[in-house]
Amino acid sequence: MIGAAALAIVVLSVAIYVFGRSRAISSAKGSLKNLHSRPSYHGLFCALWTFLVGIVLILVLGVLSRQYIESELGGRLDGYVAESQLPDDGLAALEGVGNLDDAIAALEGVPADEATLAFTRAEIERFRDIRGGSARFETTNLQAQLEDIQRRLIIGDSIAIAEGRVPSRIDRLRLNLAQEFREQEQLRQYAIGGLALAAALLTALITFFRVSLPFRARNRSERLIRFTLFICAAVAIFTTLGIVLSLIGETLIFFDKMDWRVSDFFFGTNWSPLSNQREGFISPEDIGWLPLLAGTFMITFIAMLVAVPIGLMAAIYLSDYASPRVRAFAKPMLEILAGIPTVVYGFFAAIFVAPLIRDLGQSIGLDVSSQSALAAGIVMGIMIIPFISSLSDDVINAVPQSLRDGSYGLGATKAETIRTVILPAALPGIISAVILGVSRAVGETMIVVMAAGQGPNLTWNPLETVTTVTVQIVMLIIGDTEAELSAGPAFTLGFALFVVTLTLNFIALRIVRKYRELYD
Amino acid sequence: MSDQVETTTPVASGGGADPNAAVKMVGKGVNVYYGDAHAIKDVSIDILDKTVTAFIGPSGCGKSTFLRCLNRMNDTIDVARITGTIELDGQNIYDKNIDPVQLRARVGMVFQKPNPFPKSIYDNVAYGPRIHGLVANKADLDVIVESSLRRAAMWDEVKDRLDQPGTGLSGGQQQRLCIARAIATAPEVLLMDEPASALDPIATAKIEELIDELRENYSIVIVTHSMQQAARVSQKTAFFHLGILVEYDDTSKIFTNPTDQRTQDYITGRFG
Amino acid sequence: MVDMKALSDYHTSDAAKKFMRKRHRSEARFKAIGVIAILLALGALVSLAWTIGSNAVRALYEYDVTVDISFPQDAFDRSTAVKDFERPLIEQGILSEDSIIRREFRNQTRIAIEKTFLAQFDGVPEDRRGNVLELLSRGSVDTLSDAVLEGTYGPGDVVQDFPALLSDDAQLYYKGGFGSVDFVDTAGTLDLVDKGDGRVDLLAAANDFSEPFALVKEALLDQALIVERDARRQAAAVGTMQGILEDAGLSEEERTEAEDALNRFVREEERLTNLATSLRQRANSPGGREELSEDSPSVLVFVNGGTIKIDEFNGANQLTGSVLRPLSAMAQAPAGEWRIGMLEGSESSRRIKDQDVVWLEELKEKGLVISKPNWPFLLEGDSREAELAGVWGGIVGSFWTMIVTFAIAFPIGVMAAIYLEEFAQKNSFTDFIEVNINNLAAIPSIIFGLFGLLLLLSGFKVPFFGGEIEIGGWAKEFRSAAFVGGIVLALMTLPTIIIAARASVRAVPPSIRDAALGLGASKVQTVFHHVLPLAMPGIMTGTIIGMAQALGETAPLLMVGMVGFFADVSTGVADPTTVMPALVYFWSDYPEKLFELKTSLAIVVLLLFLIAMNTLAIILRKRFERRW
Repeated sequence: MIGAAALAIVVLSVAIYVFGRSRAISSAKGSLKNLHSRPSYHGLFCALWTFLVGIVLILVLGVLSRQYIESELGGRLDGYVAESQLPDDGLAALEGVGNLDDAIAALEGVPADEATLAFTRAEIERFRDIRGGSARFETTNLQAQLEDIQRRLIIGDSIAIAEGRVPSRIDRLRLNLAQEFREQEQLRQYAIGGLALAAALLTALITFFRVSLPFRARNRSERLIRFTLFICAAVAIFTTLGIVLSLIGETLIFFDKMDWRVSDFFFGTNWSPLSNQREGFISPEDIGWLPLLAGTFMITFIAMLVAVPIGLMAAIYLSDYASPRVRAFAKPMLEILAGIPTVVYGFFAAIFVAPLIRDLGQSIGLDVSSQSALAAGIVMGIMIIPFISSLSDDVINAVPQSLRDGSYGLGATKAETIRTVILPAALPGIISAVILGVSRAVGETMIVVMAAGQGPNLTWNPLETVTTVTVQIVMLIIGDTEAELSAGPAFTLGFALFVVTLTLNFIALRIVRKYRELYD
Repeated sequence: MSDQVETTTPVASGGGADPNAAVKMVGKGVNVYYGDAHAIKDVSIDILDKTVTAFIGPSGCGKSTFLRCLNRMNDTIDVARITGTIELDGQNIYDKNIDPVQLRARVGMVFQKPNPFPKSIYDNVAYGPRIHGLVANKADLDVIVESSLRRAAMWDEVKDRLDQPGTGLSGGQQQRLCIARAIATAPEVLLMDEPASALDPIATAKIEELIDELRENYSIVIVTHSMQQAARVSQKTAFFHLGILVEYDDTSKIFTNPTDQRTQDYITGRFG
Repeated sequence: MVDMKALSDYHTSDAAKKFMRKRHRSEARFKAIGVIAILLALGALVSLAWTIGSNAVRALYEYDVTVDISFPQDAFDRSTAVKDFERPLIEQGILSEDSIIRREFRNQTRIAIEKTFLAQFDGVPEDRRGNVLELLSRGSVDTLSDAVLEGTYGPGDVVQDFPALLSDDAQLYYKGGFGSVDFVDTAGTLDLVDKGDGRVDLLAAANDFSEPFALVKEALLDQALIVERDARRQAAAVGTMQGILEDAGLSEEERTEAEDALNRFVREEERLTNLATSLRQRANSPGGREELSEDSPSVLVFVNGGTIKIDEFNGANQLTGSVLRPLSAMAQAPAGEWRIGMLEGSESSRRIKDQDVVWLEELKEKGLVISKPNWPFLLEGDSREAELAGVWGGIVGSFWTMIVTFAIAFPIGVMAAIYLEEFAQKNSFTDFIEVNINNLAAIPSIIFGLFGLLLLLSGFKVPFFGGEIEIGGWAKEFRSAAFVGGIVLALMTLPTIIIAARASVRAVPPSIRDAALGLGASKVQTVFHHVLPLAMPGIMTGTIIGMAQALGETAPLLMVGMVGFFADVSTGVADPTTVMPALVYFWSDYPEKLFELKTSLAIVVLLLFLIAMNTLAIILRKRFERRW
């Protein structure tokens, strides 16, 4: 229905364009010069407004009303559970019963409808018991949250049934709720569609009657277009703002829960935020991010040890030594290296490099972990080679030919020219390339998720398993833990990562700008 | 390519300001190709020691290309190909056992645009002596740097700021620094590719003065766009046109009584 | 002043020549380092391509067993499909009749296939039937039962040459993935004596068993090495304990404890050392008696149409074994008519056991095994069974996600670029926008994922005038859907597109704008009629490159739940789905070796898409790029 309404709004926009245009032509009475704007601009003015009003209304109402319906559904659910007529001894019969079929069997003689309801209620009660039995769940807030989980599950299932997706379970209660959801959803869609369409129609009429000889339709519609363009440009700001706000928001909430023991986060050496997850809280003693930071920087350091010499020397060789044929072959090869998705590098690290390093280490009597920092670092280095080499290539080529000529003219060899003239001149650019490379390595996720370990480990030994900031974010978010618990540390790590990479980029950008001033 | 090339262009020679000047460099039947383009066509020329030789001619006539042949700077261009022989003190510089790197130490070059390295003034001048191992210790190097800067007539201007970057100097100073840098390597021949074209008249005058002084020790070849400059600083002048050496003679003769009609047309400003 | 003339002479001196040689050596060194760097980079690319490629090639084919399947006359009866106790549940709408029938027919099909499959073997003991059936994939049951439900086959029908898919382990065996058998031809006769209970004594006339026997001895050496290493560890522990005991400050209790431990370690070290010595002795002495365990290599004898697994060597030529496949006779086998098969890895380290090897060899010998191109890999959705899993779900998911990404990022990106290049005044606000765009391009992708998670899926409550309002969570019902993933990727791709679009808009020469403005066109007209069309090829090139990056992106999609098991292929942007790179990540986590091969093939498919997109971008650039 909403789709149909959107389509209708598009059609209406096209129609009002045509009508507005012809009204402008007819009002000009044969002499188009009398019009302030060409007829098509009158049409455009009407169409733009109609389209914008309709679509914006659909989006806004769509988002808002859906949330309303879901809360409505929650109310219905509570109603159903309360209506359940089963006596308490019935509930007792359901003690320890795990699935619906068994429940129906256990409640012999009770109608299946009732049995299903009773079973659902028993499950909710059981949740209540779990949290009741634990001293940790004293606050009513947490009680409510746990009850909420079961309720959300039922509501989610009902919606799934209504939308033809696969629910976790089908029972009478869910079917009933699904039926109600379907009805409400239909009503909602009609309401939104109708409202948006009506508003669009109204806009169409208003703008249509504004078409007249002196009306400055071109200026008006161009202003509208400019405004739209501006909004698009501002999306970048909204996004940055959104990212910063969401990260800061969650981080503040998290630190608030941690009693503002911020130093425990920055200087603590123990990272195991989920060690108390069964009790449902995070202890400030468990949120020291130093092991993660150390792991991140160890892998980054190894990556840079691989990427910087190889990338830089490759760039030098390609720009100053290689024959055109070698260049024509090697450059695209490096670009291919740059285009390979990181998940492929991760797979490569996990099935080839890590076992290789482990076997090599064992053959010389070293104890190498199968998820060593070394393996992840080397592969990440390979990923960053093309990045370093292409940025270095740019800055090396930016060194003017006249400097090379000056050096050659004095009888310097190529190597002397590169080492003593070109590299010093290109140094700021190369440094900023390396910093950008570091920033990439720090934020890289897939390689470390697949090839580095998950256990925090504060060590200097690159043959051991370490974990990184990004790995922990992924583990927290995709793990089985309740989002209420894991989101805090994950977003806090995300915020720290954001600050680190942004700072690195800022430094790199400053260096590049200074460097550019040198030659301009 | 055989060393004996039949010359089709008449070789004008000798009879300059100093009749006793020895022949320093000899070009015989030199051809240069840039890919398919034939840039220098069969040029033969004798360049004298302790003499300033000027190459003049309209843009694209090949004078700079030929100049770059004299210290094999064209080697750095992949597509350039050269035939014929160019001799330095009787030895073919395109011979297999001649090292272009060492050759350039003997035949120095100053470029059109001042190109000081982004290093200190001292390091700029010391660059050549250092890479060639010209001196054994720092004291000797100091001496060379000072004497080169003196010869380039800028010692007094920079002696107090030798550790400041060469790129911070004015255009004229930068170019004289480049000349000092070239001298410091102790070359025998100095090639200058329009050394004053990017400079203002006062700086130009200083450079020209410098060239005149340097003549006492070096064989200097200068490419110039300005006929007045050629007339002012050189003793011998070679006129290039479309890759051909049209006429080569004493500067005074070229500017007063050229043999070839094309030379006549050029110096009277009919084309160029 | 220095005498420059004298210095000049240096250049032609011998000293200069010598120095020159040194300089040229250092030049050559420098150049060599450059070559090495290039070779290392290319080497990394080659080893990556080789690792992925060699694995992927092996996933290109799959192995089936072709059998004729006959259904019994009383099969597929709808009237008996539904059991009595299920009736009330159907009436209540809790179960559906359709699904019961589907389940029942599937069962009957499975039984028919299993019966036929078992019948292919010369004899399988009752208790081993389950093991045989594990060689079969359950996927072939689904194919056939679907055909039955559609009515293609009915009761009493015979399905000719039905290709029953083999399980992943069986597939790997035929691919040579592990435990492939090294066959040795024989030079002498082999006498067999039936000892009853499936045990056989073997007597070889020639030294045919010398090679397998050597293999067994070699394995003893390896074992000895491991035992010796353990012994060294014990010795180290002894040392540590002695060190502790030297400490005078120990309490009596601690001392006793430490002494106990010391004694334990000493005894254990002694035992291990003795064991290692005896292992070495056995390995180095010729002949002797060797019992084979599941930790030693396996030796199989293929004789008289059956197979014997060697349990014991009594010297090199006298052996005892147990029958894994019945022999036609216990007669003497002539030279060359029987073979010995060796499996190097120990049975306990293999997923394919010796018995499975014998069965699979039997199937192959009977000509029932065929290999065919693995088209289902491209056409099927995901599955928990390695041999059934396909990438179609990932391809479709990636397609929908890219549609959403493009629909959002392209118009916004182009319009933003136009605004910044053509309309924005140079002021601090537009500078701020620029800085923002550059920053966005540098933010790690996982942060976009976190943002997407909060904005679209979970949301968070913030205090607001005493109450609370929830921010975000607008797309809760679209968890794991292409819609959400597409939005996140769009935000991530936006900077790439804006930067590329700005560059191509800027490349349009001002003369065109001047011409249009000079004819009285408005700024908006000029931009949309002239500048944008001319800049479009460049914009498209940048967009395709950005989309290719987005196509390979995994981390942000991990955050919004697009990694996981999605059996159904999505039909639109609202369905939960996975994408190609997420599939690669998800599969790479499975322990099955076949999944490793399939992951490689999935990577090849993904790379083909990426190559296609980048080629398209290059063609666009070559074809339409205009230099002004």
